[in-house]
Amino acid sequence: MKHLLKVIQLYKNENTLLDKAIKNNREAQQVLFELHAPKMLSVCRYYIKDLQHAEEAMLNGFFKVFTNLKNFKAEGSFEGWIRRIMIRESISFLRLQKHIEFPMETAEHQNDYNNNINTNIEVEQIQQLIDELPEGYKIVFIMYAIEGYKHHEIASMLNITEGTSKSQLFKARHLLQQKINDINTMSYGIK
Amino acid sequence: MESNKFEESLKNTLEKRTVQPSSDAWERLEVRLEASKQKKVKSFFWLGMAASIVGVLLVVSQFLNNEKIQTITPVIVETPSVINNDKGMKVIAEESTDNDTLNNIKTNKVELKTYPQKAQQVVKASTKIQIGKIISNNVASVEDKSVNQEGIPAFPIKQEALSIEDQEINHVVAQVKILKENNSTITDEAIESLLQEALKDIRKQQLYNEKTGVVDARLLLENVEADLEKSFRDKVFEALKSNFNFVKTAVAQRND
Repeated sequence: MKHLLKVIQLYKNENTLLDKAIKNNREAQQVLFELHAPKMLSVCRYYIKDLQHAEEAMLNGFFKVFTNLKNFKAEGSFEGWIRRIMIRESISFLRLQKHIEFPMETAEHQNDYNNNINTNIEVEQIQQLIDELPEGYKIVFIMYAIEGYKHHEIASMLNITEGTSKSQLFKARHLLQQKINDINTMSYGIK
Repeated sequence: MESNKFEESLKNTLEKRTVQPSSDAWERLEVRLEASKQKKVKSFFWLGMAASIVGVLLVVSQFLNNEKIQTITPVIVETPSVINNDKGMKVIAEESTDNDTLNNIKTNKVELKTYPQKAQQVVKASTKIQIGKIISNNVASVEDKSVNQEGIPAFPIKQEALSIEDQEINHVVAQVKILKENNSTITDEAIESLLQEALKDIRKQQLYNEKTGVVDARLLLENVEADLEKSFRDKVFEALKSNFNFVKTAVAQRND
């Protein structure tokens, strides 16, 4: 019961904050920023290796959030809305930095993906693995596996075909598996 | 491809992560937001300025247009008067002389009609009776080009305009004299036909000015319209008549 009341209170607070933020109330905007920035910086960091650049993308995203706040319809969650903005900003940033390539090698969709990979790895290790992926693989993999987008959504957001999206995901998974196997081998070897 | 445990665990691990932004992140964002706000205000200000300038221009142009119309209106009103000043004397003179002449001719005619037996004497003693006076005056104006005429304003243009009618009257008088010399009596019909001819000539002169080579468009149009109207009316009557005759014949011959 207490938990429910807390949630209602938080919801009320967020709505009040949003109302004020729409009216360009800086304090309300700052509260919203401080509430969501750490999570959003983490999201931007999925895509952008350099933390400073990720922060830049996040600030761009928040600038858009606050200047377009009146367009936010309270149909979904506010966090979901800003998250989508952050993803778009990160992809735009990567596009500006360099041309993102989606290599189309003939990929056989054989399911040699081992579902039972040792998941006992740290978050920083995971980030490092993702960082090491080629841009095209990385973006599709994060959007599909972490953000939960469908292939047709990814295809329209990245201006690629659904087939490309699928093949990129397949290659990303294959590459990740190899890397995790290497890590496991190394750790076992050390042990 | 279905999601798998590995990806689920990756997602869970990554979702738990938060990265604290640098301490000045909010300040940087605030500066950008302020700048955009000022830009917006500025753009609104300039938009407002532009709108007000356009509004002022519209009002001023409307005002100027009104003024123009106001200034033009008198010009339009005055235009005919200006034309009158240029040609008007001539026009007025023509009209007045026309009326005068017609009146004179009418009077002439009436008097001649009332006193048919005295027509000969009237022509003889043209300087004594009224019509004689007018005719002689007019004749004198043609011959002497004198300015002071009885009952005629002393405008030189008018004098010029009068001359056409005067010539005609002179011509009529001459004709009457010839007739008088040839025949002892002058009939009303002869005088009437002479006057009609004179009137026709005057009308022709009015329509087409030989000196300037200008045709009076208004008069010509009126004439043509009158003719057209007449012909149309005639056509309708003819059509009615022929149809009536046709029906009449048909009815009459229905039993044949």
